Amino acid sequence: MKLGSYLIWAAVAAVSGLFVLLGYFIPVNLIPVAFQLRLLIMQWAVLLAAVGLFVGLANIFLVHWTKVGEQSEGWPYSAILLIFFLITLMVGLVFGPDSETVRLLFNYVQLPVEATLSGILAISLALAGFRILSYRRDFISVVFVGTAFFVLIGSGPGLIPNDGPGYEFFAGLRNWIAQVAAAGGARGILIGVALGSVVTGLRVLLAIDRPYGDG
Amino acid sequence: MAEIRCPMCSAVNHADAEECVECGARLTPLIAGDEPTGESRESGLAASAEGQTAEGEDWLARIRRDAESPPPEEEPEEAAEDIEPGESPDWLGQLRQADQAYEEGPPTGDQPDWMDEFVAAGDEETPEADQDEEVPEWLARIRERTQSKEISTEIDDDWISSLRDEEAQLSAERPAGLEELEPAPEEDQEEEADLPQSAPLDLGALSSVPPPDRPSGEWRLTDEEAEAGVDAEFATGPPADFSEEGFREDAGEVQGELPHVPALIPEDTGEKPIIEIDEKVLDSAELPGWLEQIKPALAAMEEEEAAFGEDQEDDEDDLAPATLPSWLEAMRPVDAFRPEIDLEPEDDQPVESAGPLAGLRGVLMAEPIVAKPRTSSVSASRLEVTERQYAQAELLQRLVESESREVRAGPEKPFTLPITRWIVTLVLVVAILLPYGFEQFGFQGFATPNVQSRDVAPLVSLVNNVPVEQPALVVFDYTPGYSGELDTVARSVLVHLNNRNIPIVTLSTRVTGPPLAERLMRAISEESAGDGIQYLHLGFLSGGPTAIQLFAVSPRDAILTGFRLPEGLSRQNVWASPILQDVRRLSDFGVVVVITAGTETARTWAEQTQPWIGESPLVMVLSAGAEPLIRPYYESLNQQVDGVLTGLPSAVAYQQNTGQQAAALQSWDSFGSGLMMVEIILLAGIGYGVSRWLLDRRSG
Repeated sequence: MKLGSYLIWAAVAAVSGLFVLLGYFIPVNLIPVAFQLRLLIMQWAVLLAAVGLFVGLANIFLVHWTKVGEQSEGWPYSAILLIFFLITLMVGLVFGPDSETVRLLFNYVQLPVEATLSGILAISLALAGFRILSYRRDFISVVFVGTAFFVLIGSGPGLIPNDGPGYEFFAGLRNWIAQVAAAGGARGILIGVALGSVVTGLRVLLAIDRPYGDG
Repeated sequence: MAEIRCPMCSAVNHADAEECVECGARLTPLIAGDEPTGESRESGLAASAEGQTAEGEDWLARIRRDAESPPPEEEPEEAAEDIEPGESPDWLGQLRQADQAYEEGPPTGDQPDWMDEFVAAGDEETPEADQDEEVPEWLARIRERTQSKEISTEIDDDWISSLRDEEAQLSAERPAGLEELEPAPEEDQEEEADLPQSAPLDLGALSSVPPPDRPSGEWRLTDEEAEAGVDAEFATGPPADFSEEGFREDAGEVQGELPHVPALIPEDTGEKPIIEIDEKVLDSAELPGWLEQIKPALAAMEEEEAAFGEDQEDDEDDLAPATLPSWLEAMRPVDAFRPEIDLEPEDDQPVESAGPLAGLRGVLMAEPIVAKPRTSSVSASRLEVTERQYAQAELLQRLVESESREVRAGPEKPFTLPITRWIVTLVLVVAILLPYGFEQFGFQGFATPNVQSRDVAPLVSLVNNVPVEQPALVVFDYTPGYSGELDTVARSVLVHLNNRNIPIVTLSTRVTGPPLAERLMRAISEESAGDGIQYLHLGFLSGGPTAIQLFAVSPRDAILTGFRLPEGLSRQNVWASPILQDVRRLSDFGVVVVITAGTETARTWAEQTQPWIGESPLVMVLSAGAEPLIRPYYESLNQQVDGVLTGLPSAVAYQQNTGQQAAALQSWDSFGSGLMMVEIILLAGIGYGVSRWLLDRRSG
């Protein structure tokens, strides 16, 4: 393997990562110098993340600017995005992010639009539940529709009243599905995520993976 | 349709084609009547020679007739008389006569008038003396040779005799047998004849090739035949003695009268081909007398070459001829080629059937030897593939193939209104709006849940135990799309905290979080104290998981400015607020409440804050979809989440437990009617699907 300056970057990354990682196991707060150093490293990381956010915004702007300039497919939507991007940016820079103007824009534009999208999602799911057995008559479709139906019955008032007979059974069934069956699958997902995170972190700490480059 | 492939360019031609349409190579042999495939190919040259003999009379007679057409009265009759059954045709002599007829030109009487005038004018304008002066040297030489040939023709009346004379003239100066190694005799080549020759050709090999019209061993011309005239012998004389013995007896006497063999190299090059002949071959063969004479001279030359070679070897000891260095030998792909090519004896080799070399035997077969596909002897590294890898590769291949497969465009469906979609939408909207008029119609509405979630009571107890002097940190980490669900659920907890006069500090890792927090807290504050006293917004926390960890370690270093701070509180000193003056780290908050719809955000807060949160409880207010993934943090023995509140039923139960008259109960009826309508839609869909399935089965 060719030795190069990447060894320096690998050493910096490994030492920084190990130093932050040790904070979970050792009371770094008792050592003022170590605590301040750890704090400094995390502040740098947060600053870099903020710069990354800024770069992302600039990238979005340039992508849509290019699309409008070339008048490629869907360029009017890009033009609308650029217009409101600039308007929002100017309003935020001029009046401040917590100004009353920005609050009005949020409450009467952004919030209704996004809430409407969620409402449409609910309608689409209901329509999909209606059509699923008409288009796909297989075991999975039956399980899907059956699970959705029993969870809905046990989630609140509906075809079976809360104080009616049988509601307790369906409420227990709903809790079992959500807290045992679904939670069991979620635990498996979490364990997999944890193992992946550990392996990825160790590979970076041991300089096996060098996302900062090999130069 | 039958096709034939060109051996030169592999182009496909029609079976009847004689030449390749691509490269023009001849596809059918010139000497064989039929294409020598299969058995005929093995018969080789003999069959071709027979065919030529059989057809020779026809085409020669045709040529003869054409050549002697000016006197058509006599010649065809003579030709017909000359050819007698069982006798060799006098084609050679008559061909010569035909040539003479051409050389002599047409009879004077047959020439047109304009030709006579043209010749006469030429004679007047170009006298011979002038011609000799103006003719270039090369043309003069040709003319001399032509005149000498004419003279010899007059004497011998035979072209073979004239050739023999030329050869005899050269043979007198140099050994016979070198003619075929040298260009045509020139004046400057006479000097080269004095130079030592490397080795003569073995003419014995030529004896095995019989002429097409004579039996083997009887083709050589004897001296007597040469003197008497070959044409006369062929035409009328008895068969000459062409046996080997006769030839050997006469070989020493007619050294200079051997038949001329055309040169193997162009005459203009003048280069002598170097042909190495093994000495054993020379010794074993019966050599002519002239070769026996030059043998001592050859031996002396070999000795000189050997002495010269020894000197050269002294200089080239480090690298022997035809010896590769070891490193080059290692690089040579020996295994990639066949070590040797088995060449069959010449008699067993097939006759070339097509192309410019058609009719020849022993032609290098380019296709079978060079272009014949064969398996490489180089051992390739075998790829070991497990069954799983093979299955994955197969799956990938199917995916790639499906990408490249053209999807058939289905019939264009006629435009239909999405009636089903509109009906479902209308039904759901009516179901949600209708409960708001229940009271006007005297409808009682849905009953509140009498079965409470087991998570509600512990959460109520936990919030009740939060110290009043410590502020509560509420994190608004959800998008506006989930505000309809999460605002209602989170309001129950926030109202409970507000009712207990616990100061609330909001924070968000999303840019839309602070406005949502401001909106919800303003709705709550109408019921309680104003902002800046009961609640405070820290605003947006940028940096993702790292920022959350930084905030957990040192909140004052992570957040510098607030959001919509009250009058009199500088944005540069949000931590100077009375609410936050005692907060130094995360554990200084009385409770941390995270309101989120995303499992990733909830997991990050649970994991990153766990080492720094101390004894402060962490409560999750979740969307119904995020509950299963967060519940493991709540139900584990070492709890990282101390309370969970999910869904409207739990919020209603929470409000009932805390004695609130909040918005959860206001939307309970709409929630119930909408839920009931979705259940009906699902049932209708199930019934529709089953009925269609039954109808399809019945109709087959």
